[in-house]
Amino acid sequence: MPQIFCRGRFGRLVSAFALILFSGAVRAGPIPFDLHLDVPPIVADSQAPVGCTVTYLIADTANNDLFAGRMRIASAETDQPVNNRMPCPAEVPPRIGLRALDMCTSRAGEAKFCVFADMSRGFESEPDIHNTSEIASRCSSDKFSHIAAACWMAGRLSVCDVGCGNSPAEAVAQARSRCEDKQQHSCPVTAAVPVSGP
Amino acid sequence: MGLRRTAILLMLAASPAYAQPASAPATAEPVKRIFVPPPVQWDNAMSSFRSALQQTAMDLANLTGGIVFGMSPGNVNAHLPEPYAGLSWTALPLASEYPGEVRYFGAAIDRVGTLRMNLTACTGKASYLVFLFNSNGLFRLSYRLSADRTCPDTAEAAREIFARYVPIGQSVAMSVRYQTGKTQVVDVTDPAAGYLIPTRWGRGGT
Repeated sequence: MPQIFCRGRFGRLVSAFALILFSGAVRAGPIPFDLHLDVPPIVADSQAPVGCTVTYLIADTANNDLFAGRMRIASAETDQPVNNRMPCPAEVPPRIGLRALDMCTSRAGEAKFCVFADMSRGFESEPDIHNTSEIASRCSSDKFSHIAAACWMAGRLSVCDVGCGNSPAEAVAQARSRCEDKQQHSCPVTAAVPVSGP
Repeated sequence: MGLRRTAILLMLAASPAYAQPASAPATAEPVKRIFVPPPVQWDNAMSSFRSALQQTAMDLANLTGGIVFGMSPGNVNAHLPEPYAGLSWTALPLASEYPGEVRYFGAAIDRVGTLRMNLTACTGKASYLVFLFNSNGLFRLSYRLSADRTCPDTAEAAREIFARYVPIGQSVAMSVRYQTGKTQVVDVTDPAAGYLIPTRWGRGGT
């Protein structure tokens, strides 16, 4: 400490204050128990490539609800990102889609109400999972950022088809185009969510 | 008008707020809600999976203002903005639709504080939230949203409530949505409740 601060009354006061600050406080008492010193901070790497997520749109026909079933698939050590996105498997086994259906079934209460959201023409007269497409109801994060549905209302039932895109608008446009082609109806009811999520 | 005031008015007139259209063009097309359950993590071979998020009862407590499964009726009551006086286990009515001894009390949806989930859609005046208990404590929150003349359809309110619980994994809180008559129901159940889980509310019940 410079000598000037240690001379006179003011200097002694500053010295005493400095002593309290630098030596006393640390040993003044036990370490508070709630500082969570054992929990390391969470550091998110914002530059890390986006891991593979395959997202399915599932429809609950009893409540006219849509669910986004996000399936994260671990990368192999040899996988390399393309455009900062990790690749997704070229083939996705049916059990992944079945697990996405489970996300709906456990919330709708009955399996018969849960179907893939990409529906065939005539679904309204036979609302059954056999009139839906598993493959067309999913989007992969290595190719698309958003998944969307476009629907028309057959009475109280939503009849929908699914589209993928690299923005909500692009995904909705794809879904609407597919719905209007397949269903031969205007499909004004739409929805979109990101393929990858929290 | 002073020079300074004139300068401020000129700056305001030239600000970006005026450079943009007054409002975005309104879209008349309806937007459907998509519910988002917690993601599932698969291994690289896609042969086994687990929940991708590690959720606990704290996630539920954060949503409900501190109410978690296993709480006693008195403890749940104490969390309400307007607790009932003299509430006790033996004074609670029996919920007849359940097997075994299940008791309950309810509160109007407008009087449940945080548990109202910041609803913006209408609910109907007779809508309420039921707290169901067995010997282990609270095992179910049951929202019953009844339509009436002021609110002919409570489906949107049910969707708003359901949307808040769906992101919580089924291993922490099992959320189910269904309709009984003109009443929309959202049940949020303790996954440890076992044989009580499948029971649903019917008009003749609690």
